[in-house]
Order: sequence, then structure tokens, then C-alpha cells
Amino acid sequence: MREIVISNMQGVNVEALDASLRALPDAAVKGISLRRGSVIVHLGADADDKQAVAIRSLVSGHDPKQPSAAQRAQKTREAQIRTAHDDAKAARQAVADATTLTEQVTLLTRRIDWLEQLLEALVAGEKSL
Amino acid sequence: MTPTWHTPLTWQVDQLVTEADLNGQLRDNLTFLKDPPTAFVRLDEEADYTTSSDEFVDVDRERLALKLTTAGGDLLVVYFGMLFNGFSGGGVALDVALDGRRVGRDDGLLIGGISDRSWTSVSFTALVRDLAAGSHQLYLQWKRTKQTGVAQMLAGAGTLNLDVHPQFWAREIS
Repeated sequence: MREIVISNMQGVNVEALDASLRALPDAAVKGISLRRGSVIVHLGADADDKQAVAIRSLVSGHDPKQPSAAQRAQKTREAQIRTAHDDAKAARQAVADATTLTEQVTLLTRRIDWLEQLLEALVAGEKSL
Repeated sequence: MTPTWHTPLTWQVDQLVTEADLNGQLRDNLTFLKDPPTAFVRLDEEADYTTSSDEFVDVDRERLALKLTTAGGDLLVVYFGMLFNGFSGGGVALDVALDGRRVGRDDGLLIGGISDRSWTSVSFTALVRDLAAGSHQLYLQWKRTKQTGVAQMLAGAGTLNLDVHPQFWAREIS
């Protein structure tokens, strides 16, 4: 395995940088590590110097504030669940106030929707929600 | 400094015991047993470690590296520390590269089954049998076991409420 070490990196978004490096054509990136302010890019043994230059350039221009696609999707999912949670809380009071069976069923459906989303999130390991 | 180990002699009736015999067989060998070849690292770093590697890589080739010269026999290798799992459904695998070959082979010595986004204590005590006499180099290695997210290792770096100091060491025990 070959390694490229880039020193003096401040504030690295590991998931985002890892995703960007793996998206490089023919880069054969196996992952990255952080040690004492340095980023180490792990490459297949057959990586050539041209790929190394592209990797160094990408790492040097890394912006830790830019989330990866997976991080963006995670944030969207969290926001959706919070919205559903708020809806469900509002629905709890509304169910008590509802005067018709149709109203009650509609409101309970919203609460079930939220529970479903919460369960899906838990199964996916998002226990912090 | 640990003295050289002398293979124990079989004593004969009326054999003259010399100064060299006593110093080698008693002094040196007892000193060797009291203080066997040992290499020890206690982490006290300025930053914790992180990896997203799918293949075993050195955690820290400078700090988590052990070098010792053995007399030949069994070697005990120990690590304990705390690992973080930053992804769903995976784990963090640990192994030791001894003279360029991984002791655990395949998927390593252990896989820390860590709850998602949680820290947990992880340790191994590995016995390497019949290691040849001579100089040996050991590196702690790790990888994530699922192809998403990151793994982290505490390194006594002052992380709030998580400022623990892992140890990695090896000692010849026979």
C-alpha cells in the first residue's frame, strides 16, 4: 500500500474528504487517516505519481465546512423527522380536541407516520434523534 | 538493559563451576527473567486518531510502534484503549503487524462491535508463539469494517471527559 502525507491540515471533514478522494477517477483510494495534524491518504500500491498530484491538490483545497452528499442527506433526514415529530406533538392535542371519528383517524395517521419515520431512523442507527 | 539469555547448562558431577558460569547462568538469567525484553507505549498525544481506511493501516507509525530484541520464544502483545464508531452497522478491526506480517491475519485480532456513534473500551491480549530470537518491530493497525463513516481512537489528547491514555506493549514471556 502507498501513502501520501499532507501535513499541517486544520479542521478536516474526514467523511467529506474521503468521499471526494474516492470519487477521483482511477485514484484507488482505500481511505484516509488523521495523525497529529496530518492527513494520510491510503492508496493501492499501483497508484502513480499523476494520481498523487491530483490527490495532493484535492486535499490542499479541502473545505471542512462543505458536507459530503451522505452528510447532506443525513441532515435532510433529521430535519424531516423533526418536522414529523412536531406535527405528531401538535396532533396529540388535536386528537383530544377532535369531535369526529374522521378527524381523529386523520390525526392519528400523522402520529403513526412520525413513529414510522422514527423507527426507520433507529434501524438505520440514527439513535441520536 | 536486559542481559543476554544463556541456555541453561546441564551440570555434571565434579564439574568445576567458574565465575563465567555463575554470572551467565545465575546472574544474567535471573536478571533476564526479572526484566525480560519489553517495549511499551502509553499515548499522550495532542490529537486523537481517525481513519476511514477499508484496509489495515498503521494507526501511528511513529508512536504506536514497538521495537525489541528477543531471546527467542513466546511474545505477549497487549493493547487497550477506546474506539469510536462513526457509522451504522459496522465495527473497528484491530491487528498488529509484526515484522511486516499481521498477527491476526484475515480480518484481524478483533472487531470492536461498537454501537453507532459511541465510544467503547476495546482490548486484546495476543500471544505470538515461537518467535525467533532477534530484533522485531510491531505496529498497531486498524481499519473500519463497513465502507462508510469513520473510526476514531482516543490518544490522551485532552478530549473533554475522554482524556484516557491507551497502552500498547509487548513482552517476551518465555
